[in-house]
Amino acid sequence: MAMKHLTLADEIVVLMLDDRSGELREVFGGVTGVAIAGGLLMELALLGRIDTDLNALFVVDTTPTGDDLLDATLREIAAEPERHPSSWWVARIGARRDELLSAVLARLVERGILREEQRRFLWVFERRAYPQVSGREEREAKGRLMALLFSDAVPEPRDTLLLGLAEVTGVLDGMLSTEERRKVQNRIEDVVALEEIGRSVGRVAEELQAALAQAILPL
Amino acid sequence: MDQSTQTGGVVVTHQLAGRIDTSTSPAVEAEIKAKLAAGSTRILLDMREVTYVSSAGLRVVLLVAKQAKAAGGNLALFGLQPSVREVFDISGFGKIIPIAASEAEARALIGA
Repeated sequence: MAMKHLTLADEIVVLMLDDRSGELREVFGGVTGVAIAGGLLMELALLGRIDTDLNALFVVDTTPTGDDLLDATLREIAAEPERHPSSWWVARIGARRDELLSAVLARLVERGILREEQRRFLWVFERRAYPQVSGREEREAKGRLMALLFSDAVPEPRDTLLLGLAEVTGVLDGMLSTEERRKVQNRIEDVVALEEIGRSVGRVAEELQAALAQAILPL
Repeated sequence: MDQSTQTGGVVVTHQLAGRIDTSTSPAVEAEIKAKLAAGSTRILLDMREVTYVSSAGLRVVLLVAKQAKAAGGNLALFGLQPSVREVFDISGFGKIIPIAASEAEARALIGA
């Protein structure tokens, strides 16, 4: 079962899908996992199930939310005997990128937001694409992000968190021209910094990208 | 967490004490919403007795600041203890919400 509204994990996956092809546009797989993990943790925080401070992420209420993915995440955190910082959880949950992404895509198809298509690639290989059925959810999320960026209003926590995920996954780069990006760069940095889990997502994604760059650099 | 209020027309000084976290932030939001509904749209949060603020606590400060602005007013914080100030500084809250050392300075920041 899933929440009535789209969770942050659902929204970031919808935003990452290419409008025309329905294929996922990824910085690289590790970052996608981290973004979905961040979305799940942020949603649990907004639902009052977990909280964080500068040192740790902790469970404050184990009552199930009614959302399968969120409840599995909540149970996992509750079962961990030691307290860890949010970045530890972002990295740990985010490492299951394939499993998380499949689960989010499957529920978006089930809810009629996406449809699944099998496509042939070079006549032999098959790959899946997920075109949006109406595109309403993506337009709504993009509208919220643009409104947040091009105003100096105090941001809504949910939009603050979504902006952090959109930044780390490269979604914002697809939404903003170079000139627009230049104008709102400070605003992006200021808003993303507001949320502790958002900062952890950015930090873990940076570490993964640095490790990847190290691995592919010629010796 | 304890809270109390001194009202002076549209300006209200709201004293908070103890921890602002998941369990206490709904009460903070409810109290400040009630003040806004009663016409006190310039809110000063007296943080001198606050010892701990979690992410849920920060979120509620952001929410009530947004509500104060929507009501045509403003919200400022003052008197943060060093450990609490660190949490606000790392989050960059000062770029979004006025934070002052003293009540007088906070009043000046929101034109109260």
